[in-house]
Amino acid sequence: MSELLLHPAWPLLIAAVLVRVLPRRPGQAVMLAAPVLALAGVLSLTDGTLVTAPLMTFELELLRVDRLSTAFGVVFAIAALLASIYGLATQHAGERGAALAYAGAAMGVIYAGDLLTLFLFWELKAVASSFVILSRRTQRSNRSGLRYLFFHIAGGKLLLGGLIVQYQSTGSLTFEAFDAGVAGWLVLAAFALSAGVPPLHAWLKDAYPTASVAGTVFLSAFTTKAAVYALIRGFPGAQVLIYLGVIMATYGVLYAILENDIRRLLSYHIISQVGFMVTAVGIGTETALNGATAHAFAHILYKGLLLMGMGAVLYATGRSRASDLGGILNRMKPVAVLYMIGAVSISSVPLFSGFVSKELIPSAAGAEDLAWLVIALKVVSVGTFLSTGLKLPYATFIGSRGLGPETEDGTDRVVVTPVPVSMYVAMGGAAALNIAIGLYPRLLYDLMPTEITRAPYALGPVVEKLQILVMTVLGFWLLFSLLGSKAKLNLDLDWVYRRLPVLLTARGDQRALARADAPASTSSRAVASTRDGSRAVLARVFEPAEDGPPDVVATWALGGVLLATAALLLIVSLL
Amino acid sequence: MNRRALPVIGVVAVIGLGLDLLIRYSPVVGYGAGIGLFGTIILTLVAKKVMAPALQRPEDHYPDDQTPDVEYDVYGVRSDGHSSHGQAGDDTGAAASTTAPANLPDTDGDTHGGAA
Repeated sequence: MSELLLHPAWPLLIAAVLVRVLPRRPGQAVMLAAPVLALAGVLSLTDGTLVTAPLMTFELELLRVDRLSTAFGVVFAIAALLASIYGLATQHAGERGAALAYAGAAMGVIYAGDLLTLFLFWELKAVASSFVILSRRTQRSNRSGLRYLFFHIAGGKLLLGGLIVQYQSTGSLTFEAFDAGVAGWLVLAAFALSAGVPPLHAWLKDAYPTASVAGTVFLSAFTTKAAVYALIRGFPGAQVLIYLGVIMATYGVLYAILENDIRRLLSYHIISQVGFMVTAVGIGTETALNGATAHAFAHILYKGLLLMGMGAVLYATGRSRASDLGGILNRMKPVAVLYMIGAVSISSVPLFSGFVSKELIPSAAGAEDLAWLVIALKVVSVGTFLSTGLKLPYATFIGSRGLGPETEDGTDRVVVTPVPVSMYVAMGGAAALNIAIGLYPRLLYDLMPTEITRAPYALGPVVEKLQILVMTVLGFWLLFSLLGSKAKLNLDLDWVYRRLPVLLTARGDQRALARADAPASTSSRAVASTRDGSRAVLARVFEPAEDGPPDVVATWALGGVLLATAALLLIVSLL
Repeated sequence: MNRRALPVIGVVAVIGLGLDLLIRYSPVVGYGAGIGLFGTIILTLVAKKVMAPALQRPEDHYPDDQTPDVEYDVYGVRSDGHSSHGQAGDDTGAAASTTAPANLPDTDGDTHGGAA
């Protein structure tokens, strides 16, 4: 039971409260100390530790430690530390509290041994991460944050439904691999939503780019990776995940090629890279699950670095459209260099982290004779390098205006302000870890759930990868004129709930106008009245007044939380 | 299409084929080079020629989601030259809090930079 005191979630959750009440300087110190204590907790817990606690008729497994949870625990603590350093100069107390609660809840998810504990931390994670988005306090972040909350509350209800069905059918709430059945499908849907599997992905690209610069770094680390952890734990070898993962990887990379918003482009790449992990979970072999874990670990580090780099650009210039940037390389050289370390890492360039992590997944697919899958994953990797390693840095730092002035002399339309030292420290730390893992793969491999004997730096794989990368550069040169960033918005499936109801409402209004002149019977007047009422409801939901109260979506989200709480209490009391 | 790239691609492809023959790792000679080049072409054409015409809309398509030209709430320096973050002055350095932008960023959101 004393091991429970070492639970890595505690320092983060306690600090989440402290940073709200402490003055700024002590609050900053707590913000940095909490992830360090969480990391110490992760490293001090030994494999096989299991702490249970009775709750009515349940025996909750509050803390279950094995190599899988330790691998995720280590990287979650590191990510929380780096993101905390990154946000030192920009985050207000409320955002810090939400971010730490979010990190603590994610930590609780990966150490949960039963489905009820998992559900409680899952819901806390959803609410806390929503507050990370809302903490930016703009109308745009408020709206997308509430849409995000609505999605994740819905996902939580799927998880709750699966939990109930699982308990009814098996009498157990232990979180282990699910069998095919209603419970399995409900829980899979919940995890898939949180992982960003299309068509349940639109919340990610909608919400992540609207958070603050540090908030987005936090968001990139926990939600989708906690879902990957849950998929590894609950659905290893589920074949449907192979196909979903490939769709996800391709979908994300194609949208990334189109995208103009620098942080939304990287958000699409989160979908794409998580697709690799989902595919690996679907393959389900030891190598594949190691690959999913290793890739999640490395992805948190290099995606965090990429978002820190682009966040630094946004902080320095105030601009987030690639088409508005360019001409800033000479004034942002350190940021560009650090960003490029993340870019070559995600692109699997040898000697960087992606090469030793991501390449495990095609290797696992090859071992299962899935040649089509190997080719598909390698082509998607090409798209990753094309958009994050070539198109995005070129458009952001160089673009049509070239390298730009050496100093801030007031001659350039993009005014670059100095980036805080704390941002450089965080980016430097992430870059150092990406290089360290690339140079010493054992740092990563020794943390994996099972032993990895593969030596990544054999001549054949390195030469093949270099050929792919060089040809991608040449392909970029060949198609240079096509790959420019355009100031356009790309429709995605969020259109269904953001635009379609408005269009339907407008069409209904046109019909009502057409009917207005004609004499109407009592019944048709009643029908028209009902339609007017429904349109009024839709208008309330989707077209809130400019300075009115929060969207009605907020009411849905709040209602969802209350409903979930009520249902949970009802179930607990019934059982 | 940039035709100047073609001879370079040809030379690199020949070197790649030679390496494949020498090392005999790839399942097919030219595998890596082919994945790199044709992967780039296929993904770019699908995104830009198939998806873009169908999916791209003006930036004001969602009236509530228009990104301002300059996002002052996260910009290190406001239009008055001061730090936009109450705590930013601590480790941003003096420049962040004292350097006023010599010329404010304009409001033209339709410029096309990027790789084009």
